[in-house]
Amino acid sequence: MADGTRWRFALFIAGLVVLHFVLRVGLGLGVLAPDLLVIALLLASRRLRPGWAAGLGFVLGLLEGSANPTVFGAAGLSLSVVGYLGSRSREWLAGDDPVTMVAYFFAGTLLYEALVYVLLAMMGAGGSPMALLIPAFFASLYAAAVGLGASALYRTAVA
Amino acid sequence: MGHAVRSTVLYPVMAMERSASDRAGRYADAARLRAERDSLASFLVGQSNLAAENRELRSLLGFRPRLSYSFVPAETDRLAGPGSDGTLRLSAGTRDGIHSDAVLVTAEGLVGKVWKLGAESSIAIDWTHDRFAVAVMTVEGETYGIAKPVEGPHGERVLALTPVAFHTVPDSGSLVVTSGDGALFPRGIPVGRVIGQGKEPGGWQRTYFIRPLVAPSQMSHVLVLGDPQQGRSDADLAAAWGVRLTQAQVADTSARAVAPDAATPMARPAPRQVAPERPRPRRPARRDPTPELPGKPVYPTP
Repeated sequence: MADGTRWRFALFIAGLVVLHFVLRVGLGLGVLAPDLLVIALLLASRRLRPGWAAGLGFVLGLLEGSANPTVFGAAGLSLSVVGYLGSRSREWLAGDDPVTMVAYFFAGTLLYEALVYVLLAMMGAGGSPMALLIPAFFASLYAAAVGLGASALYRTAVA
Repeated sequence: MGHAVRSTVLYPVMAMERSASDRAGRYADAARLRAERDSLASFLVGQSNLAAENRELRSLLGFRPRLSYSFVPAETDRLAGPGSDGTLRLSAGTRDGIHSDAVLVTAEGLVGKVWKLGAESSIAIDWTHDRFAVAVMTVEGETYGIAKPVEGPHGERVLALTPVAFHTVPDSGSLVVTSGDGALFPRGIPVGRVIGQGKEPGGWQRTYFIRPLVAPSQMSHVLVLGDPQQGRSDADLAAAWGVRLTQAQVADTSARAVAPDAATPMARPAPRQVAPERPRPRRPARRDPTPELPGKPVYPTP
């Protein structure tokens, strides 16, 4: 991570995490609010090493699981995997143009939703695949759009 | 661990959630609240008359007063995210006196049960959650089974009463209440009405769809049942909803939860009445009235 923007970037990520819990839990908006936790992790993973990104994913998953006990454990594992893969994605997804970032946010959020679904299904609480597919698709699109806006906002603030 | 994180790192967010929930309750639709208040008022008036009559009759018959449960009112918020369907956050916790697996009801009927306890808030699942299951019966006590959430005939979320023995055919529209089997849900709480027959699992059993009385949109305010205030824990709650059960409670209910095929409990044949054997009249032993005389005893002739 570049030293010049390290703290500003860390504050930006922390702000996204706080905003996620304020919107989803504090104000009770639920799925009306985008999944800023995954967006924050995907953004941070682009700057962190795979191990640190997985650790950050685990911590964020712990917070998410505490706020929503249904996904306790599943969120931690899923976000760890997403963080690790997000970090490794730099090896074959180098650019950060809008199209690439949208695809990155979309794939990352969809992967997270799918992993949580599979883990919950293994624990006997998954529901039907259609119940995953349609909401997950729209949630991923929503996250991709908001993630692109957030990264653009950060670029503007830093520049 | 989740509770520790909720009460430390996430404490501001949880406090904000509670106040948002309070605000939502304060600014809820006034017309709907007024309608609910009127319904509750009429319900309470009817209940007070019934309770008074019941108390008089029971006192006449020497019965104990009608059993009742304590309860804690709570507001709910739906949890969001994958796998959170049918999960509610309650605005009450152990500090309010609710306990694990406590039952959630409204004036219409059964909502669900508490899943994870917290000090100030708890997580509950309603009847739409995949892990929800309740032992139920029809009011007349002819059909018993386990009700679980499924996709209904038109894609809507309903409960499926299964397995029901093939010879048992509950009428469409029959009221289904909790049977008290398994001792998790008290007996007599209205659950829903039978709306039709589902697919037959194997030809020997039937499945029936039940439309629950409490829709997910009607779960914003619930009552969390506590312990019975007086008497036994298997108290019949049907009277609280104005439901009269025609089937007396069976003492041993554990067998039915394991084998719900026994949809219509058969009356156990009465043991054959055998006339008790009369003791033969014993002839009194003859006693020698002249023991002082040696030789052959002399009996007086009658």
